[in-house]
Amino acid sequence: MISFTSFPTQPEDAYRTVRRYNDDEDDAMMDLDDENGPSSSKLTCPGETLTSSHDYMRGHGTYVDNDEVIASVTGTIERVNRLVTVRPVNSRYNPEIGDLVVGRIAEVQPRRWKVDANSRQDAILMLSSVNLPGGVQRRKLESDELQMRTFFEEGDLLVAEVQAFFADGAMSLHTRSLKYGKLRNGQLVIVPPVLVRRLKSHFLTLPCNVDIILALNGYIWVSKHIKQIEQEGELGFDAEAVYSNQNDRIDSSTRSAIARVANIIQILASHFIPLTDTLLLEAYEWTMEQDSDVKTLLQEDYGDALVAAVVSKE
Amino acid sequence: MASSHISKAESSYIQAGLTSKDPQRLDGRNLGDYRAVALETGVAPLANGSAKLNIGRNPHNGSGGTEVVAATKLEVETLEEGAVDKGRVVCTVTCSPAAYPHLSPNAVEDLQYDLTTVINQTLAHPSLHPGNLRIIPGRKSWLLNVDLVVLADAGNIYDALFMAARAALWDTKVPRTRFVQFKARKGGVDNVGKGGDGMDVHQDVTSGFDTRGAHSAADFELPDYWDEGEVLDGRDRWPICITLNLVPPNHFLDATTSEESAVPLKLLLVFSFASIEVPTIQAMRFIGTGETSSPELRQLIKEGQRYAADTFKALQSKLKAEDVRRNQKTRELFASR
Amino acid sequence: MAQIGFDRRRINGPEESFAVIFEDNEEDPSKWKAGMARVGRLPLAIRPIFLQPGLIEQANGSAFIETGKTKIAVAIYGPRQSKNIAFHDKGRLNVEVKFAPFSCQKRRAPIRDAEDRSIAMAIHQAILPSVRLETMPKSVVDIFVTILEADGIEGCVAVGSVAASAALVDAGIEVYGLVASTSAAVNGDELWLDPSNEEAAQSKGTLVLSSMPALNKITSVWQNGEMLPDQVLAAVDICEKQCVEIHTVVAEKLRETHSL
Repeated sequence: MISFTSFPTQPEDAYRTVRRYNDDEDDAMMDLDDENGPSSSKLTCPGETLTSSHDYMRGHGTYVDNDEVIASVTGTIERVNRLVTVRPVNSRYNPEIGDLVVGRIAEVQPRRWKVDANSRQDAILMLSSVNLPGGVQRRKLESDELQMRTFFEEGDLLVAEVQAFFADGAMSLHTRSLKYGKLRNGQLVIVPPVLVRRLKSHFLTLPCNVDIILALNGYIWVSKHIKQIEQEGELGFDAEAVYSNQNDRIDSSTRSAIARVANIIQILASHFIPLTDTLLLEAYEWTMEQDSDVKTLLQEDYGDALVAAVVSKE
Repeated sequence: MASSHISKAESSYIQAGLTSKDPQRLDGRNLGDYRAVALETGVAPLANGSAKLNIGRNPHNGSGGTEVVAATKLEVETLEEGAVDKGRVVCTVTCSPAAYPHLSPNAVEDLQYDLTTVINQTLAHPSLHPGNLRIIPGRKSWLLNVDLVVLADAGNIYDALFMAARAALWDTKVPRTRFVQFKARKGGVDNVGKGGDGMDVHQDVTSGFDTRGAHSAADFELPDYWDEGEVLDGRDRWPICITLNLVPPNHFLDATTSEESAVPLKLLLVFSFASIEVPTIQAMRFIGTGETSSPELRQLIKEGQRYAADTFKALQSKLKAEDVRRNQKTRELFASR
Repeated sequence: MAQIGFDRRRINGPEESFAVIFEDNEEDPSKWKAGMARVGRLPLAIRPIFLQPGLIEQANGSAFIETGKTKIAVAIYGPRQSKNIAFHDKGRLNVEVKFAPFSCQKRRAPIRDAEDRSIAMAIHQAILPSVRLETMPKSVVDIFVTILEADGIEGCVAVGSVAASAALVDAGIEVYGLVASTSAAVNGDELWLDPSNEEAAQSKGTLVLSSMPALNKITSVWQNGEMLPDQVLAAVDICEKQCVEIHTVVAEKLRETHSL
């Protein structure tokens, strides 16, 4: 089945309506001493003068020229005491220690893996920061080094935590927990990293037998629900299962639930709505109420209706 | 997509979904479904015909999808001795490096070479040659350049290229030309050129050294007319491509990038519908590893023909709708003057 | 008239002259017109094939093939470690085709052109499914195809694939089966196998089928021009039968060469 649509038409007078720039000159120097701080709804423009550098310190997204703090990105202004920063509307992922990320192995190197994690530099996963087969914490051996590809090979997806930073700013990951490791039984959805907020838990389980890993770098893993392993610590570690490339048997209803959740995430992300567990759950329930096919989610009006319904509830 | 290759687990997840009894795809489509295809003709005002096509554009923010722009441009070609007297068709595919950020410049070049080869071998084949590319018999003809630019690739590039090329060729207008000829009066060689006056030449003698032997000169002119020209001859014939992605025992259409990397073999079938009942196959290619047998192939061609007929009908009605829309727009612009 | 134009300073030619009359060449396919029967061959007859594996000493495997006016030499180097390529758990097949400058009617300048690559692509596709690339991770097999004399692009693809497959066997590279390949052209209502350059140029559509007859599998169909679906299927069937015969010839030759 094939259907043709048109590209959205531009309004005829798109070029004629000149946007009037708000030229309140006295607004240019922002009154940062205002009780509420700079209004968060206002976006900066690169090159815009924010304040004087005598009174304030420049943070990320700003620079100092001629004793003035000037924005270097488009974004919202944030102020902590005397520090002014601009948080960009869109950027690549900025890692912080303790963040949960999903990454893809880009390269296998001696005693380490390079991982693409949607950041400025490839993340690094050391052989010493993964769980090795054998259960107990043990020293890594030469034999482990020789069979690194049996743990992770190029293209593999994994979930990990940011452990530390190297001197050059590259992040070091670790998967030394049963929650972390290789990803199977599902599909990847990529959204802008700014849409994933820091939550209490980034491992979500929807009642439809679907697990979601909302990684902070914008890579979202949607997969079949796997029962939590009861044993704590290293005891429940099964190297065979953790590093396997084989998927479990996934029945048809789970598969369509995964596809449905992936489509919902894509729709919400394209409307630039930050993703939270409650929002995803509501959206899923809304589509189930409508009793619709998974592929109706691909239609524009249906997606709009979904967004309208979910946003109105908030 | 961050990188072109996917993990083994992802790949087997996709394959298992496609080969199961109740086949399912990552975005919930059926095996025979295309993503939404957006098409617009007449996007390049300086070209003789043009079209923009996008498969799988995100309807909410307009991002993503495979995007191709096709444009045709006619050039006057002076024929050399022994050249074909019917005009030429030359197709070129250019890939924007932005469409393939994970490929090296050399790999992008190889890819556009490969795409060009398939498109050019098919569209420039004598069996599809339009009849009205001749300007002056034996002297001048049109060179029809079909240029395709890949702006983004989110899978199924061949179908997109062929559909865009078809739309642009459908839209192509060949300028009207009028044949003008100058004939020298009998026996009056001097009248042809301005020169010759200073020399004393016998009127009744033809010298062997007289190289001004041309007794006639022919050229063409473009008459003023209300439209841009006539459409290409046989524009119903331009073919469309159906890419069948083979995951035995199933096959599916319009693969996304990740589906493409999980499927080893695809079959390109290019159909031309000069008449809707008896389509002809204009090209056939296998791409990838894996093999098939002749009973399977028989089945695939039959199914492919069915898909192609659906696609052809949909594209045809869209092209006609585009013509109507543009006529309407022109009329409105004219009225507002 | 003649005397007036007479020039005494030159040696003048005879007053009368006649065009040379050539003896009529009966087997001239350019005299062929649509609807006429094939000249010189039966429609389903192919030209005899001469194959000699192992002619190029320095290569790991090689083959020379000649059929009619088509002459192709194939050399194989590898499997060898692929350089500057990221890790791959399968091997790669790299086919390069080169026309000798003297291989065609017109001289071919020794620079890479589009036709080289399109033939390389077709040969690559024809033999790729037959090679057990999963047995040679990180490696690359380079196949260099030199076309010494060409008689139609279809012939080059078909014959080149046969030679490349034979050369792979000569190099001792693991394959699932030998690849045999035949070309066909639709001329009028007939199907002609193994068309020459002129025959292919005059035809409406052409097809090259590559298969592994030992496994009854088709590896590639490379079709161009206008053909009805039924014509394609008929051509596929006929070519497949022909491939079985070519396979026998190639297998016989390989056995003979290696048993010495």
